[in-house]
Amino acid sequence: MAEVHLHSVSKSYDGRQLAVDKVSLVVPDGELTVFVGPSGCGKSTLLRMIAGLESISAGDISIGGIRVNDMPARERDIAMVFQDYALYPHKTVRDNMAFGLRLRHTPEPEIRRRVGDAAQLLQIEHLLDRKPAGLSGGQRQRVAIGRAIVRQPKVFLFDEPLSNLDAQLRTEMRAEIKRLHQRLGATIIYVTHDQVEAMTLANRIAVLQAGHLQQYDTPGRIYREPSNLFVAGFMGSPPMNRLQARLEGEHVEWAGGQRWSRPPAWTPHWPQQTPLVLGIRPEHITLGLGKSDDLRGQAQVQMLEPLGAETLLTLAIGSQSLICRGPAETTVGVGDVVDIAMDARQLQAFNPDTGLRW
Amino acid sequence: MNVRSAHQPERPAIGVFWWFIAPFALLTIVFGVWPILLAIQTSFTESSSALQPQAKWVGWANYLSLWSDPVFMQSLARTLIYTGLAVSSTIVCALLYALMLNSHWIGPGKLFFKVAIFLPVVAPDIAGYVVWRWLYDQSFGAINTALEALGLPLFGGIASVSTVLVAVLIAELWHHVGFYVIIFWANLALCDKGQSEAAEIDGANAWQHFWHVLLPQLRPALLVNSVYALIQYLKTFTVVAVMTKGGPNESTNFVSYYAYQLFDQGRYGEATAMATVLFALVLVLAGLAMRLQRRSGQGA
Repeated sequence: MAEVHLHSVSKSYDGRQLAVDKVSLVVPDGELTVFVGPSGCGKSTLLRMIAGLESISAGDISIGGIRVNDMPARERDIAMVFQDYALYPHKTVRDNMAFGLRLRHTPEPEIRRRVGDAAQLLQIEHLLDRKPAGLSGGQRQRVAIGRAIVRQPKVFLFDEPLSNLDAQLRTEMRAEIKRLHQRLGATIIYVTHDQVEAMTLANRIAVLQAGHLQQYDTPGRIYREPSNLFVAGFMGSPPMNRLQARLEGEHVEWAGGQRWSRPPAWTPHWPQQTPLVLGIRPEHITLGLGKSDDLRGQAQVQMLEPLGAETLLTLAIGSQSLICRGPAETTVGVGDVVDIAMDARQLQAFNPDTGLRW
Repeated sequence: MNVRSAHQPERPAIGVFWWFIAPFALLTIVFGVWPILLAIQTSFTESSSALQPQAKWVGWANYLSLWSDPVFMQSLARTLIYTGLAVSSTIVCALLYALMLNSHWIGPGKLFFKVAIFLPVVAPDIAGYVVWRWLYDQSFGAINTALEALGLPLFGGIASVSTVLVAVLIAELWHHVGFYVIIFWANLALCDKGQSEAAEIDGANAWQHFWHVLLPQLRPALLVNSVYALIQYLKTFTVVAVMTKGGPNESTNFVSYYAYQLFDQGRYGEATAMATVLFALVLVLAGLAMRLQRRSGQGA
């Protein structure tokens, strides 16, 4: 296992189009780090640069303390699991898994042992003599993971490995990967556009947008303290509510006209009489009068989305919408004006010009 | 009441189908199948009456005479050896050239190499072979002039028994290989890049990548090219007719050219028997090649 260091790594195509812009981070030894972001944010390009499948335009990448910028992929001692599995269709599952070891002249008894162990771990022993064409999507993905495991590389790279699976299988495989990481204790870099996958799997998350690293932190801190409006809006489902407002003495004035009294105990350090974007997670808004130290007011119900265990309510404060989580059996209806309370300690403020958190 | 399910496809209009098929079926029968059948029929008749309405039936006599004709047997062996050599050279050259076109080695020169390899395919074959005959000429040919200028031993070309097969093969490769390159190149464009990347990460070098990843994916092109090349080289005629006339010393007298010579001498029965043997050989070998390729494709 090994640490992976990225120092000011950039990737440009034709010298102009910048896919990755000066990304610096350290993936600690034995941790699972997720690169997450919307399509085209540069997360896969970054992973492919670490793998050696893309050249590095600027900056340095080192794996286990060795600079690998000019090192071919086959010498980096990494293993990769691809989105479309990339299994060799003419080889059996066993030969697919053994291929990398045979190329490295590993003795046959050792190959048999490692393939057997990986197959047992992934519960694919009964598939070893089949060809990939005879496997389901989930089974193929297990084989692809097995092919990586038998190599016992310094670093595992996963490039959106669950994207081609249906929702139920994706959930199962996600748990499987989590268990595998806990058992193997391997350094894993995992790319996904699915923030739920990122939150559930990661020790650390790197959020990327348009080639820039937006935030690199633990899932908890990224969720609770997003560094900017993009991260606040991207992480979480539903995302953090972002409402334009300004502090006016003892009041909070929402853009669109409504004024709510500020609870006396709440004295945020944000500037007064300055436009702000206030952020609050849906679970930190409750229907009703709440507690005395909550920020309280009224909103109109615009939409109800029952999810079984709870109901998502879309509310309007003036011209601005926000979402809160309500009970499964809610009694409110569309058009009702309801009391709501925001947990003031959970409110975040962002600069509307820079998008950064105050 | 006749009720049709929404999912039940409508029966194709059989009449329309036959109207579309008919012109091409007719052309194939008249100009493709019928001459073959006539040739086979002629091969069972006496040469002197073969082209007359009341041809004399001689059974297997023409075939038996072929069997006892040492020139034919040598010609057949020569044809098979040349075909083996030509098919393997064509496949190897075309594959290497297609791999080069598919690589980054040649950079912006790719268009030049594409045009260069395909131009001879569309060039008239007779004109091309006339030029090659001139290139090989012992007195004023460009190849020997260049070799002489460099102080290297001269090339016998089409004048020497020991070099004529190679000389003819080079001319044929020049003319035909571009077609096979296109087939390989199209197949290479369809190869899965993900597998190549996986192999790179697995630790494969260039040869291992080619052998374990690319070649298995090139099976469709290998099948098409080897069967087509087999058919083409078994029937080698034009290059011989233009460049060597079967010589020197019968060393390029392949079956189709020998059959042509007999036909020219009015020995229609034996000539068509020879053509029928060649036709059967083409069918059997092409069928065998397809079967072998398919079996190896399934077994791999």
